[in-house]
Amino acid sequence: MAHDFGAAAEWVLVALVILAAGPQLAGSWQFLLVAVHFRRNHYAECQPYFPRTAILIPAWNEAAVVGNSIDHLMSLDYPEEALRIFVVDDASTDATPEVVAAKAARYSGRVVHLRRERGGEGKAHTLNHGLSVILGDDWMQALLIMDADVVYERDTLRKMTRHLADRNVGAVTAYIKEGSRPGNYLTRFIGYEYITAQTAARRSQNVIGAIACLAGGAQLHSRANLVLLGGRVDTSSLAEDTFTTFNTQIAGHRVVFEPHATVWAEEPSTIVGLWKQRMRWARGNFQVTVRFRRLWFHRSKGHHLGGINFGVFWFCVFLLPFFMITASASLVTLYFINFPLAWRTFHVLWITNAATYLFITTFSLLIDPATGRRVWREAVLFPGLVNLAVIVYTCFPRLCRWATRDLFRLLQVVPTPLYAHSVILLIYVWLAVSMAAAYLAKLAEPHKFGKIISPALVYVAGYGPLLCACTFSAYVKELRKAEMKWDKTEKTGKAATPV
Amino acid sequence: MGQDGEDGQGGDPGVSGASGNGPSRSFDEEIRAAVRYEKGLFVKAMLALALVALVAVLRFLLFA
Repeated sequence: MAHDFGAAAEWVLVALVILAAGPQLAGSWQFLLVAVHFRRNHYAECQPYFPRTAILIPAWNEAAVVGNSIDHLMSLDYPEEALRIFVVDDASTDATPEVVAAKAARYSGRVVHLRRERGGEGKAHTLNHGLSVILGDDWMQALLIMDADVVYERDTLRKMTRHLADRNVGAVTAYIKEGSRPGNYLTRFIGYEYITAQTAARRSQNVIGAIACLAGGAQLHSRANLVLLGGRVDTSSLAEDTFTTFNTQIAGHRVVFEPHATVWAEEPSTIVGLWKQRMRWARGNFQVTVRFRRLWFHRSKGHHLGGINFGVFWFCVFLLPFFMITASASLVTLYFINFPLAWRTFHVLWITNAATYLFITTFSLLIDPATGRRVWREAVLFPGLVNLAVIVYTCFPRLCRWATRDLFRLLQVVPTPLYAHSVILLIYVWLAVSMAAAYLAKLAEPHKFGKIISPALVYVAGYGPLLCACTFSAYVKELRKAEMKWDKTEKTGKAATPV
Repeated sequence: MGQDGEDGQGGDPGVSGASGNGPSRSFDEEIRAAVRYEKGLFVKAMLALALVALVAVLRFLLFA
């Protein structure tokens, strides 16, 4: 009886370790769907279509960036008479009102300055202020919601509006690219992350017919869609854009991602800034997961959000930190109760991880080669130096053993069994510990040698674990019902198109 | 609705747009280019899979 229980416990632990390969396998499936995007896309329904478009820009202390954004919008390849910009100044305390007023005077009748006297309630409230004004008359046929710092390429808007020619489409989003120049190591990591999370993931979402999120910096809505949504966006969460995306699809409208419409955005160049941004996103996603709890894995005739594919993709990302922690804990437990089984399970997990890493990284760099050329080092080191070493060892164990033996011989060190077991245990716990190591990078950043230690820690622990650490921390905050605060990402006007 | 300045179907007033064959041809070319790029991604995916297969063969046949 006790033996049966022990065996069952061992297999539960094995299952928990193998479960950690789930997100990687789901990621690979998602990337395979990208490969069939040429068959399942919305281009056949596109038409040249230039609706009268209102551009809504929420702005709180955006003096450094909003003027440049307006100038870029004014040079869009789009009929002049069909474009109006509405800047909702959320009681800014910097020179935003003066900058916008100057642009309104320069582009008379095409730039409108709206001012909220009581601000600080968050982006959703600011958007609703603008929406109430814009929907107040019937000029607007389509509405583009964007951030004050993003820079549109000349053809971006018309590449988006062509999808609205199909009345079934309620909203369109574009490819947000990291555009900080000069960038740093962190913006390059983000640049790579956006290839995977935006241009790849959203292509696959086009294929399955369910889009997770209209990017806050580029969401185009038809008037009919906004009316259907009640003319306002959700103000009860930190993920108003995801709520809008879900509600659009639940209401029966299609949402389309246009990968060839590009928007450049300035992303955080410090871990502290990134942490604030991702904390907001992760808490928002937690709220979405709970609020739409009846939707997951329940098929519906009107939309595909309840499909298995979409549910698996969503929860693999949502639960990733827990997969990493349980896999580590299970491996360490197995190490003590059944060492050979732990070793075999570890190999199965990491052979899967290595194969999916190789596929996803190579394909990502090929999907957007221009960005890939700039960020390939960060792409390779996305899981961190330690995990990368494990991947290399998993792929070529004999070569690695030879190399290690030669290294020891060179250093005249004789490895003891204790040494070997310490390394094995370290590797087993690393999946979870890498998140803590990445968190240390955040703690170290503001200190004296932070500029050296933090990047080094991120490269060693990995950018992926850093995001997982932030997500984990966000869930803890959410479960403790911590105050929801709209921590705006600071922008300095570094985003630029490459031309 | 709203194609090349044609309007009025479904109550979309004042839809503006380029007219004539030139812009329409360029629109068609743009769509063709987009689909061509997407087809290219299929080939790129196969290349990435081939790389994984190559490493797997090396791993299990030569360096296991």
